[in-house]
Amino acid sequence: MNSRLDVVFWSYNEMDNFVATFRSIQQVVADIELKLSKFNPKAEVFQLNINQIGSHIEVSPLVWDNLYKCVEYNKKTMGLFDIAYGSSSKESYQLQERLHFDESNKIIGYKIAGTQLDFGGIGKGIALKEVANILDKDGVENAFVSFGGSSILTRGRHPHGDYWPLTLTDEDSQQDEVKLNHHAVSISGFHIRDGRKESHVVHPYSGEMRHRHQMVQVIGQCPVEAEVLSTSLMLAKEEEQQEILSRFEIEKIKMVPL
Amino acid sequence: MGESRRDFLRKIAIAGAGAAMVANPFGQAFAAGGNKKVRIAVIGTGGRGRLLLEHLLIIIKEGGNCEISAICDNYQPSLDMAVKLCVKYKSKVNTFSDYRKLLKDNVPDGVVIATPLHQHAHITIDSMNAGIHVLVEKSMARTLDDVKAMYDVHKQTGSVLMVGHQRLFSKRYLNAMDRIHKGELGEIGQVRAYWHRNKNWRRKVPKDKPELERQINWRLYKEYSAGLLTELMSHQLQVANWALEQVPVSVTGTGSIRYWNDGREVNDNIAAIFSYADGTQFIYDSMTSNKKYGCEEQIMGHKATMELETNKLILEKPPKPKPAPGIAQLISDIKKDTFQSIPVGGASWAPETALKYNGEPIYNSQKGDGTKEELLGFVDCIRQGKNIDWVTAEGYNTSIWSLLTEQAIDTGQKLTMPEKYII
Repeated sequence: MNSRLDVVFWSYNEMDNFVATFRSIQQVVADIELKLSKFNPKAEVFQLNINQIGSHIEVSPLVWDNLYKCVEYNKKTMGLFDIAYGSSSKESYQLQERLHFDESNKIIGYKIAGTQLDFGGIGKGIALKEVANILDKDGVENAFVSFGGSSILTRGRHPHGDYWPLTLTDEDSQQDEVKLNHHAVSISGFHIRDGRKESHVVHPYSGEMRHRHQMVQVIGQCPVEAEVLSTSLMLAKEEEQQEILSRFEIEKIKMVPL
Repeated sequence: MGESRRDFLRKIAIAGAGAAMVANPFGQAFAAGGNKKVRIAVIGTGGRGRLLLEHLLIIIKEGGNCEISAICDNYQPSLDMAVKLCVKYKSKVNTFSDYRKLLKDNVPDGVVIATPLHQHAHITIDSMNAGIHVLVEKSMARTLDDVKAMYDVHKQTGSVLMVGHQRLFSKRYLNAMDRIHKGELGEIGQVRAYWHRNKNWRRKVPKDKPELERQINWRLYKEYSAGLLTELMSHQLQVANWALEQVPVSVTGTGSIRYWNDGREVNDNIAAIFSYADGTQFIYDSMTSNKKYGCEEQIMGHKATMELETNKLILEKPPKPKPAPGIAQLISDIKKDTFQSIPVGGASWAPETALKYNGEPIYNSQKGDGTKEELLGFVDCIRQGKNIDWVTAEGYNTSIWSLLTEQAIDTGQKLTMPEKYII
């Protein structure tokens, strides 16, 4: 995922085996990367992307379930969240128009030539959801998990407070502290490279990388939905924003205009 | 009159990775240098000679206390181009076509010799016997005996003898060597180096003067040059010896004219392996029909590798990535029993940090390849009347082993240094 994973656990219980939990997290993240990568020839998504129209690929439950979810998110965001793109930016399809799900055989194929999938906008959310499952399974009560600072999952509280205190800052340094316990945070914005701002969210209809916001920060319960929203709201017009937000359950959102 | 390698490095004030160094290391190396204006003549004004001349003219323009007393070349077009260069820098200069006349009539304090290789020895020896200090381009001479004779005359006369291995004066290389010698790379097992070009090395000969072929393309004929060995490999062999603080104990090699089979006599591709007393190997190759890999010296220790030409230090165990600033603060807060917000999303926030390790720079503040610093060093050596013995020895040993490599390739034998050449 080309991103750094930072994990902070704490506990008063000396029996907690955080090393084993962290190894499980590393393993699950590596597994997800191996399935969702569009660069690794062994990855299912890579194989889907090079597959011929009309033929199908057998995929793992993780890829199957998340592709199904992505179709749903594509609809709920009025097409703005789209993990697919075509060979031409002029063509525009809903995600469900591009994919064929063969339910009986659990195989997937592309219906539109040139279709390519890219889980970059949601992959960290999918991974954090799996991390959450590991934390629950291992009984970890207090954790702060960060994927590159832009995708965060919390459990429990800070050892010296009742919550994890997070300050979401923007370009103008207007600080806005949020109290996190059992939460997911997703932040989309410009990437800063060599001091320059670079857009990275592609509009599914125009093919342009034109943000409507400098930054969108979403706080909710589900890390996957937080990612979907922070990405799609970067592109949404004002009237679209209200409609999209009404379709998701979130706790807090901050949108910093350009 | 000499100065040890350790003293030199100490005075030159190399403090470690990324440390700032003085603009002219020799300004500190030789304290209280005096005000005498040093008169320098350049003998041999071909491509390399003019480059050295221009560096000197720049040094003068920048207030260096020296002057160009004369320039000399027996090939008039090269001399004319050098005169133009002097005019460009508003420097009046005497011209000669015979170096003996220059030494007699102009009597400079020092000469910079950049003639074809086979002419180095007698010009150097005549200069030193005339009480003139010498900076001679590498390699020192065409034959082993000439190299030794040059060294012996240097010792007899006390004249400064510096050999043009400019990397010895590059702050990057000085910094790297200091760190290598302090053990930063660990035990060095191998040094590898290569110099690959894709051009024929042949220079244009005037159509109406075909008799100038051997004079102009001297690098291609064994009478005048050992080709890649004396013109390219010698630079990198010097770096290997410097890094290892040793000279080889044996060399074996091979070579051929594989691609530029145009009447030249020197090989267009060569490979050699040098062994050192402690078991270290220096593996070298050079070719002129492919430039993909360019030029590099790789010093390989059990802790790290340095790639000197491209300014890279690559650790065997890459440093662990530091946590993101917000996470680092969180961990620090927990340790200090502090409860404060974890910042994310600010202006300095970097959302994506790839875990790729491509090494790090060795030293970033060296401009150029050390040639200017080498000339500044030569001028200061003259002003002080002080030779840097280990720098002379570096040039000497490198020249000897470059020529032994030629013999090893030509005979197919594994060669050691004959005792009479050991200094």
